[in-house]
Amino acid sequence: MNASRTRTAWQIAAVVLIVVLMVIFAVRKANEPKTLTEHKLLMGTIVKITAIDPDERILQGAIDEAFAAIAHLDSVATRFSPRSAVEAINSRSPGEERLYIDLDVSTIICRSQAISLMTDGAFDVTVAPLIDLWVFDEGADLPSDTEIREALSTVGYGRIRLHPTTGALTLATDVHIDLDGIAKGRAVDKAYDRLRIAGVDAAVIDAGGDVRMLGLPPDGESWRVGLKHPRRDGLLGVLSLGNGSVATSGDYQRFMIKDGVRYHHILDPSTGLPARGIVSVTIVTERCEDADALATAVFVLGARRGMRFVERTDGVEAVIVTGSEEIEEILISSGLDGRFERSELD
Amino acid sequence: MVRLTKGAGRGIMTPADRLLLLFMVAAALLMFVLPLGGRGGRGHSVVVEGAGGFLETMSLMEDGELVVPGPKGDTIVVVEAGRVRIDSSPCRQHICIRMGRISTPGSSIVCVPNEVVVTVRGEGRPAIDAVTR
Repeated sequence: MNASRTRTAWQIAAVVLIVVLMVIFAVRKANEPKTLTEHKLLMGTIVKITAIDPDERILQGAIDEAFAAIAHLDSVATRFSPRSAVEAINSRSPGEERLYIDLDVSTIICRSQAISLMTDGAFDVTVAPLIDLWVFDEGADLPSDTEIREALSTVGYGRIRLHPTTGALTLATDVHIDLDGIAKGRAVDKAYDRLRIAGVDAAVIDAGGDVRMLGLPPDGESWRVGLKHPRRDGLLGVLSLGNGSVATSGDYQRFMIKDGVRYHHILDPSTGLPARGIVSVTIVTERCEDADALATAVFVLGARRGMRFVERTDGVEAVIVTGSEEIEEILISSGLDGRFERSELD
Repeated sequence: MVRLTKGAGRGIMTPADRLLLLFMVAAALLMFVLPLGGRGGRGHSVVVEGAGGFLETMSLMEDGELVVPGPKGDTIVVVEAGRVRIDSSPCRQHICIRMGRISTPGSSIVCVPNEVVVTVRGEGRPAIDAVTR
């Protein structure tokens, strides 16, 4: 009799245990982070947003908001749309030197000016006339010295002024601007803000290699950001990072080889020619607009001056790859010590 | 009060009970261990998107070639030895071709002028979260 009761008790306990396990499983499942990834063609590249949160309902809305923010920047900050704010600046009438412009564009110009000052003009948004001279199609002609000299005479970040309170932009008559070296980073930052405000736990925004991370991945460790190998398929290495941004400028993105010489799109605003001595620069810092612009600036500054600038600037780190057709050296700033690993992953 | 003596204990746990207990313990352990998936997933297929709603899937397990029509002409996507690349493209700067071969889940190649997007799909978390280029 006792044995029979005990067996019944054991069977009840077993059923209770199964129910408890099922409840624990259901609760764990509900709290498990859900991941949603979407991509769109924006800013002249593919933009991929991955958002992670236990609450699946907020993910779609947050990603839609983030893409909307990028789409707005795409429409106002490009030189190649007749209705953009940048085109309005560049096609202003003679005598129209003072303009009131889109707030986002004015914010980008303001930050560009600060970075130009920090880097002695190695980054400069007034290089538009120089950019227009260079065509990187196979067999294209190089611009002549005269053309470069003429274009250089219009370049200079000191030739534009942004009023700090009214936001009025004053430009010299012949100045044209190009925000491609910073606008993509700014768009990533805007998307980041939207995701953060929506309450998303963690996210990665990747706009053609301009990357910003929010929070930490579900395993609680670090994000792993690969650096494209500048001279072949696959990765040069991997950075293990927390919350922050990464952007790269490289001589392999837009270039042509003419008479055995590589001509690429990263132009030195002081010479009008492609900057030499560096193959790629990857910048790690908090805001993606800074990473974007500083990658260009450090490339132009060169390896020694560039690394000196990085080491003395708080919150900015870099991986600089030197060489020409072959990689000579990989320089890593002190703040990335132990965070960069050479890799053969792709 | 139930007093479990040696003899009584033998009567309580039948072989079926022991099997059930073993199963429950194993299930409980699995529930806690399984969600902790690691990194390093491998791509198993490729989604190719093109202009005008073009959408095709290619397996990464077998070599193959796909012609994707676009506004500038045909882009040729090639799968070789578990990796995918753009072999030829009518775009001007060939940035898509220079992006090389990819195979990790979530990684992609894009040709903006010809509106082609190639994305690797796969299981597990990718070994890397993004690539700066």
